[in-house]
Parts: sequence; structure tokens; C-alpha cells
Amino acid sequence: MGTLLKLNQVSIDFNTRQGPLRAVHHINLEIGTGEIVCLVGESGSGKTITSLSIMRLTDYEGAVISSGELMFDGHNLASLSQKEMQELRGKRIGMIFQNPMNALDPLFTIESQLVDSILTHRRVTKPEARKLALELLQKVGITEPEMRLKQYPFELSGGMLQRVMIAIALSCDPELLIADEPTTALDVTIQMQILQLIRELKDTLGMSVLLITHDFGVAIEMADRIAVMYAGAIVEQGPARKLITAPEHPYTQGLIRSVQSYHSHSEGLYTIPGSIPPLQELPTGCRFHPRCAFASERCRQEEPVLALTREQHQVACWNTAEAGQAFAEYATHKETAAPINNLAALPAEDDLLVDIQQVTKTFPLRGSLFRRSKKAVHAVDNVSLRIYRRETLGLVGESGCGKTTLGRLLVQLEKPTAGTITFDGQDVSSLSDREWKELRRRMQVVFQDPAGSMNERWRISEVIAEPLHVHIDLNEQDRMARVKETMKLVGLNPDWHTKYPHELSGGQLQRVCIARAIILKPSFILLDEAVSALDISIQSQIVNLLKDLQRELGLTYLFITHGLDVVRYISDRIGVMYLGKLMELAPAEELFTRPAHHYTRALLDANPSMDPDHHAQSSISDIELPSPIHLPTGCRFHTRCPAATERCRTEQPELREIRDRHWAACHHPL
Amino acid sequence: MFEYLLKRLSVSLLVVLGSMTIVFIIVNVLPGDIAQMLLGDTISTEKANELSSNLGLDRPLAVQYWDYITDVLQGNLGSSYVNQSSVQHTLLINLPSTIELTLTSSLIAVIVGILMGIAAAVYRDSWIDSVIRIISLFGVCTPTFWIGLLLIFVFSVHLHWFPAIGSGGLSHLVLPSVGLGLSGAGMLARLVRNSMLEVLHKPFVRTLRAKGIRESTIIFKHMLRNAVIPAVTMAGMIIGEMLAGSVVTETVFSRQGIGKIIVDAINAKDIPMIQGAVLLTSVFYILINLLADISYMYIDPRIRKMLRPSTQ
Ligand code: SF4
Ligand code: SF4
Repeated sequence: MGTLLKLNQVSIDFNTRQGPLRAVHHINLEIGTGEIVCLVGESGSGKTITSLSIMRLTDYEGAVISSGELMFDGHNLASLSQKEMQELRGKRIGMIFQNPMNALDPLFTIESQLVDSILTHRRVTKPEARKLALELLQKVGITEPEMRLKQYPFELSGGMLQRVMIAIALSCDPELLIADEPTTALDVTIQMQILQLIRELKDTLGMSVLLITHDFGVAIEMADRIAVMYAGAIVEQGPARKLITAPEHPYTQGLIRSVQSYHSHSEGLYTIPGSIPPLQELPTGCRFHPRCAFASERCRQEEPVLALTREQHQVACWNTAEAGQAFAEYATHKETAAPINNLAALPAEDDLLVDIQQVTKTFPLRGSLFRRSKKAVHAVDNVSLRIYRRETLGLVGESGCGKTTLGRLLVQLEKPTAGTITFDGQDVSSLSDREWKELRRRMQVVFQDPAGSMNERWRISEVIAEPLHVHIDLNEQDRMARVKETMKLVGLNPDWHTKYPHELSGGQLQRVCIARAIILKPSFILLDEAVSALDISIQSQIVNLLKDLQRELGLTYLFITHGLDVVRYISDRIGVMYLGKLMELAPAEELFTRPAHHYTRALLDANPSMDPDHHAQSSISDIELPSPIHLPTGCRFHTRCPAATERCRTEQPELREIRDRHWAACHHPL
Repeated sequence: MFEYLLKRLSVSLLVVLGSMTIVFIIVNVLPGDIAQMLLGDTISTEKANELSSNLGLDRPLAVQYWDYITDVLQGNLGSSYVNQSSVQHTLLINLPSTIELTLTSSLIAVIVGILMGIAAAVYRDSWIDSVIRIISLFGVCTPTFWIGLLLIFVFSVHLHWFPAIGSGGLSHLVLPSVGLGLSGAGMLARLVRNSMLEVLHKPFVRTLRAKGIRESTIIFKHMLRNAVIPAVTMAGMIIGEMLAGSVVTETVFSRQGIGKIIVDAINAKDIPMIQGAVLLTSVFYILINLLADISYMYIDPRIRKMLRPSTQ
């Protein structure tokens, strides 16, 4: 296998007002012909800017390749002019990006964007290009390709758009495809379809793929080789399988243990302490040393470089022997530890806190001037759900399933179209404003985007103290004492109370949001994708914090997310939603080990695992999610269900208890 | 789409009616006896009363209003108090010259504004950007009459390149159009620069580069089209501004046109003429905005399809 691309000692700097800022430092990376290499790293690791540098798109992002060579088939890409690069881009190297929803020009049709790309690099006539465009759409598995060609980007779903992006990237048979987080913005069942497509196309076209991802699960699914980046440097790289089973760099080990501990049910998730340093404040010596359990004096002084430790496997660490040993011990211990699966350990179902009864929420579509539209989006359709005191109820589902709307209904951010919601015996919709305000003290919310949910001009102490102003009167001193006490509780240094939000990292900001939520000592917290945007090493810290707080303060959680691993770990029971309907409700372990609904099965199958022997798969057909305006008759899932029968198409299944505390809405449960 | 247009049109008609009413109220509650003013102070009250009844000014306001509206609906704008000539006729004769000025100044505003905006965005933070910023600031902040006087001073009094005042051929049009167009160009340039910069950071621009599309194509075909969407609504407003600005500019340059008619009519308290001219301008103003909305739909497929009855 020949080498197609070789990055040799490449460094990339951002041009800032204070001078150049090193984003990527002396990295070496090789991609062979027909190989899939995954670049794995958390945010701020420099993986995206590395991928842009190969296309020399860094020039447009205020960054420069300050040293090193990028050898692509005998040319040093770093020394080509933009003009020469233009010839290469889209022709020999194709690229797809993270969010397909905004990666295409909204004002041009799919056809025109495909044809442009073909005509730029191929000597064909316009009609020929049109024919090629159609063939390309067929090749990437788009349904009704003729119609799609005439459509505009906003008319296609995310999954379809990513297929279009792939079609564009492949339009000139490139030798290298760079995919920067291609599935991060997509739902898990769609993610699997896209990954499968990339792999199939790679095999048939014989191209190489550089896949950038933050998700080890995706990397294991796809990669021949994996390179792990941390704070601008590659710390470890080697053949995928060995890298996962026997990582030698403490950072890689930490990440893998974090991910795996979601499945282990040990007391608390494994976490890497601290957070990724900002580029301006890189530590001396090994850039990981402030967070490393094996750090020695040498690590603080001298920077380790990548060195071969075993066949094709390079690590940048001074203490690989020790670290490798420790991981081996962990691995054997893990094998022997049996997973717990104990229904008796669940919280008692006698102390009802939240009772959602037959709640429906429809959003009417705006009609025209002359006739009222009868159409409506059925966001939540006749859902009944009970949450018991001190339990965590997880709610999962893909985008548009109604999980977020259900949460908003619960805290009265939205009024139900039908049905009742009772909180601690009180019907929330019948409360007066004063009674509701009183009740609201006891139900708090934490959202996904911590920075967006606070006023950036307020000090941390003001952000956290905000509910105190609204709900109770305290004098300045007592309030400050309460704030500091709460900060300690969520693991924030109380001396930071004078800081502003922009001075904190994402993980710290989420702690601030949690502090704000618990300062009034609520009994219930709605966590809406509260940890979804966080890097894995930070995510596990926050999940641990949430668990600790629950124990200490006797909290009840409704945990809404699309992340299957997290929800399994944190929840006592889990509800699965699909197109506004509750499809399945079961204790967490039961749901994951013995799913009864075909949709749940499909979700679990599509979830990339950390097991290199187990491949995630897409067990449902490639059909897109139906629109919530034109819902399928009968079972909502029948258009995609592999077990659908005639009955499923006509008769809507009711939610019924099929096993002990295991409910499913399916005519033919698994 | 058709429904939307119908809706917009009916709203527009209401606006026209509204502006007619407001003008009617304003000119009719002006202090002083109109007939007396028309005839001058030396004339006796009887004479004035006679004129009042001739002109129908002694009838109740509601009746006058009703007559006025029905007349307009029948296409009759009345006749001037000053020289009995037909208002329609006077307006029609003077209309072309105002349209001419509005069009040329709008053209200057749009072309110069968009080009300056693009240049400023492409060469952002360079001297080109700074120069353009100063020009736009000047255009936006300086009153049009002052720019007009300045232009007359420099280009006709000193350089003798163009005639200072009056109407006539193309040469008479240059200074007024430039003077008027500059303020619009300034506004547009700032808007286009900002929206170009916003588009520059849109992920789809990165995709286009990754496809190997030429930078000039990216700028002029893709970025510009996305960037002008907010500018189109603004352009509608700007053309309206140009129309309004021509009132002042026509006076400064002593040009023939609706603007001059309005000023003269106000001075002479020639109510039918004022009403007619204002009606005409508001109709134009509304038409222009309607046009802007339609072109907006044409450029942005998202809006176009939203308005089309769902086919699903
Ligand atoms: S070099 Fe030292 S600090 Fe860095 S990862 Fe290895 S042991 Fe840890
Ligand atoms: S009811 Fe039918 S279509 Fe729905 S999940 Fe069960 S088997 Fe599939």
C-alpha cells in the first residue's frame, strides 16, 4: 500500500492581534491509498484546523502553515499557490463538513451545485454534467433523485443533505476524501447510514478517507488506523484495534476508560481531571502533564515526541511502560466485573412526584389569508408518564420526536393542547400565577447551551443568585454565603464568584447553570440535553456531579437526551419517543439488554460501541423520518420497521405492560 | 404566491387611503381662511366667501372628504386653486422629470452602494475599506441639499463641467442624481459590507472553496446573491428616499418636477395640487416597496416556496 498523503512536522498558527498562536504543533500523519484514518480529539485539539490545512483552506480562516510539509502524491501542498490548490480541491481531494444543513448555498438548487462542481473540473457539456449529477445522487442512495435535483437545500433533511455533500465531494472521483465530523449533527440511525455509505464508496472507488471525529465509537466503526490529538499535538497513533484495546498514552487511556465506564455501573464514571488548556496557556513539557496520573519531573520539563513503541504504533509519552501496565490491569479487572442488572435496586414506585396524563401538544401551521390551515405539527401525542421521587427518568429519541416539547410542557414553557400535568398533587395548569411561581421554585431547568442561557455581562455570582432575587428575599450577605456554598457543592472554586462567563470553560459554565438550578433547593430538575454538547472528558465529570447531587439533595431528574450511553448510565427508567409517541418505557438495563420495541432495537443497533468486534449497523431501511405533519397511519414506525405487518399499517398499538415494569407500544414486540 | 400578492396589494391600497386622509386632514385644519389667503389681504370678506362657496370650501368637512375620495376614485384629482388647470395634467407633465431623477439617482445609489460594499468587504480592514467607510459616512450624514450645493459649487461654479440649475438634457441630470444618489449609496454600502462579511463566514463558502470553485465566482455568484437579500428590502426603501429627496433636490437645482410642484403648491396653499402630488408620491412609494418584496421572493427560494400552496 502506497502512501497518498504525508504530513511531516506540520505546524499551524493562527494570526491574532497578539501575534501568531500555535494551534497545531509538529504533527506527523500518513494516509495510505485505500485506507481510512481517523483523527480523534476533543474540542480545541486542533483536528479540524489540521483537516483544513490539507486543503489549504486554513488561508481563509486566519491561519497559516508555519512549518513542515504536506506531501500529496509528490507535491508539497504547503508550497502551492492558491491557484494551483484550486485545481486540486474538489478534483483530487474532496471534503465534507460537520453540519450539512448550512454547508450548501441556500439560494441554488441541488442540481446547480452539483453541476457547478462537475463543470469546474471535468471537460463535459452541461447536459452531460446533468446526467452525471443524477447518477451521483443515485450512487449516494438518495430517494427520488430526479425530484431532489430540482429542490433547494432547505427542502431536504440533514441526512439527505449529507448524502448530497458526499455526492459533490465524489463528483470528480477524488483520491482522498476528508470528512470533518460528518455525522455529528445527525441522528444516530442516520449517522450509521452515512458511515456505511462512506465505507462502501471507499471500497468501490478505492479512495482514501481521513475522518475527523470526537467520537471514539465512530472511529472504531470506521478506522484502519487512529491518531489521537490533544491540545494541538498527536499523542498516539496506530492500527485501530490495538489502539483501542491496548492504548499506551495516558490521555487515550483516560478517554477510553471514560467511555467504557458508562457501561460498567461502577460507582461514578471514570474521569480525567481538569480540562483542556486554552492555546495561549499550554503547559511546559508534556502538554498533558497537569491532568496526568503518571506525570514525573521529566514530563514537566521536556516535551515528549512521537516514538515507535510497537509495530506501527507511536506514542508521545515518557512513561508508556507504566501507563500500559496500568491499563492492562484495568482491562482484566473490567472483564471480570459483572454488570449489575437488578430491578430491586430501582427507586420505589410509590412516591409519585410528576404525573403526566394523556398530554397532547399540537402546533398549528400558519394558514393563508383566506382559509385557516387544518394542518398541525403533532409534537406530543397522548403521552402518559409518571416520575417518582428521587428517580432519574431518561427520555430518548431522535430530533423531532417530541422529547423536548414534553419537557417544556412540564415546566409550563408551553401549554398542553390536551391532558393534565400534576406536580406533587397539584395540577400545574390550574394554578394562579402566584401559586405557579411558588411551585416553580421546586422545579428547575438546565439546558444544553450554558453560555446562551446566561447574561454574559453578569458576574458568576449574579448568575447563580438570580433565582434568589425572583423567589426569596435575602440580605446581601446571606445571599453571597448561599452562592458560595452552592458553588462549592457543584465543584466550582467559590473565589471565582467575581468572574464573568467568558472566563470559564464549557464544563465550568454548565456547573454554573447547575448551581443556579439548585440554589433554591428544588425537588425536581429538568435536564434538557444538559451534557450533550460537552467533550467526553468533561461530560463524565458533569454526569458524576449530577449523580452526587441527586444523592445528597434527594433530587428527581427528567433527563432528556439523544445520547444513548449517557442515558443508560444515569437513568433508572428510560422512555423512548418517536414522532410524538411514547414507544417504550422500561428500567434502564432492561431496555438496553432486552428492548421490546423495534424502534428501540434500531436505535441500539445504530449506536457505535467501544467494542472493536461488534459493528454497529442500521437495522432499519434507509427511508427518511416521516414529517410530523403527515404522520403515518397505524404504528408511526411502520414505514421503517422491519417487522411491520398489515395490522401495523392500520391499527395504532397501545402502550401496554409486556413484562414486569416494561411497557411497549407494539403489536409484535421483540 | 397570488394570494400573497393580493394581500400585499390590499394592504397597499389601505396605506394609500390612509395617506390621502392624513393629507386631507392636515391641509384642511391649517389655520386661516383659505379663500382669504388665496385672494390676499386686501380683498373683502364677501369676495372671499364667494370664492369659498365656488370652491366648495364652505361645505362640512365630511362632505368635502367624501367628495374628494369619490373624485379620486373616478380619476379626477380636481383643478388647481391658483390657475384652474387640471391637477392630473400638471402632475403628468412634470412626472417624467421626477421619475428620471429618481431612477438615475437610485441607479447610482444601488450600483455604487453595492460595489462599494463588496469592495469594502473583500478588502476589509485595508485602506480601501477605510476610504469607502468615510465616503459612506459622508453620504449618510450629510443632508442632500448641502451635498447638492457643494456639487454645484465645485463642478459648475468652479470647473464649469455641468450646468448648475434647470432641467434639460443629460448634463442637467448628472449633479442632482449624484447628489441624491450619494446618500443612498452610503447606506447601501454599509449594509452590503456587513452582510457580505456575515456571508463570508457561512459554512457554505467553505464548501464552495473545497469544491475548487474560483474565488471570483464565489464572491460574485454566491456570496453577493446571499448578501443582497437584506439589501433588496433596503433598496426599496432607498428608492423611496430618492423620491422623497427629489423634493429638496429639485428645489436646490431649480428642476422641474413633482417636488417643485409640491413646494410651490404649499407656498400657494393650492390644496388640490398638494393632495394630488402627495397621492401620486405615496402610490409610487408603495409600488416600489411592492416591487422590492417581489424581487426578494425571486431571489430567495425559501420565501418563494413558503408562499406557494403546499403540494404535498
Ligand atoms: S509524558 Fe508524562 S505527563 Fe505526558 S502523558 Fe506521558 S506520563 Fe503523562
Ligand atoms: S407495531 Fe408493527 S410497525 Fe410498529 S414497531 Fe411493532 S411491529 Fe413494527
